[in-house]
Amino acid sequence: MLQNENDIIQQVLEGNTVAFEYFVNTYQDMAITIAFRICKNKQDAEDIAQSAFVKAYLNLSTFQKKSKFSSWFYRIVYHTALTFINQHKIPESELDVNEAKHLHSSLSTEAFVHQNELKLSIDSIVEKLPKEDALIITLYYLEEMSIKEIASVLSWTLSNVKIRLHRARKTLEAFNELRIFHQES
Amino acid sequence: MIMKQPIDFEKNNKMLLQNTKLVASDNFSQRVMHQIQQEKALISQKSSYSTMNASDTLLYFLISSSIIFCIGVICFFKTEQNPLENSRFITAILFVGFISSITWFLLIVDNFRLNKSSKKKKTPVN
Repeated sequence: MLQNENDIIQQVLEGNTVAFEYFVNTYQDMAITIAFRICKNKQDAEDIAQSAFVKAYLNLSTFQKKSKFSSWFYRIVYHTALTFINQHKIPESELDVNEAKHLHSSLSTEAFVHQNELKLSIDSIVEKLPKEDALIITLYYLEEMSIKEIASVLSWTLSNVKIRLHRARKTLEAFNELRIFHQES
Repeated sequence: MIMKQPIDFEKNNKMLLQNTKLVASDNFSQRVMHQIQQEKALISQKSSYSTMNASDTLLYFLISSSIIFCIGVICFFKTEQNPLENSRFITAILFVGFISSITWFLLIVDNFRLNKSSKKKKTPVN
């Protein structure tokens, strides 16, 4: 697959623009998902993904084939999304950072269960996570990226990614426990 | 007694997150490819008139020299004296030289500016 992608990149660099459609079709859903984790709006996410594809096409000659195309491209999507929210002054995640730290513990409390009457969905949980945490678990579980690859996409240190991943996983596990508990009862 | 099955959180997390993956709208890839084609056309249009090389500089030099030569010839036949001794001819040379230099300088500056902006656009992202 990687070899195949390198061949397509070569074709695009030689002037075959249509060959780039392979990357658009392959990575469009994930690009929109990544952008959505940052901007929390599907229409904006599509605009960001579109802009990222154009950037990737224009900068394809700078892609070093040492890394995966996906890692390189997701990095473009992430930075394009950050630029977008800075330009459009979109506020940070509605959830306070401290609140997020304790979300996994609060999820399991009875009060929380009754209060929300299990209307919680995984979407709302992911949406309530800080945007980088949501992005990390997305890349980790959906793209099966390694911590090193995620660190490269976000331009973060390995330890920072590990901490944030651990926290996000704890939140998801709490949600899972809650879900299983209610399925059983 | 019912034994509680161990929960595979990793598998569950993956399964749950699969449901959160967004799907692009139907015409998304067409939109992207259309914009890429437009960008490509724009780039080729820009590059067709923005490149200034040695042959262009030589062309400017040849044009200005031939203008000066023509003025010299006209001056010689009109006044029947060595054009280099004629103050009007020297003034004309200086004027043509000045105009050519200004034009050449502006083109160099414009070319430098265009190169700089295209380099900025092509900043490596990996």
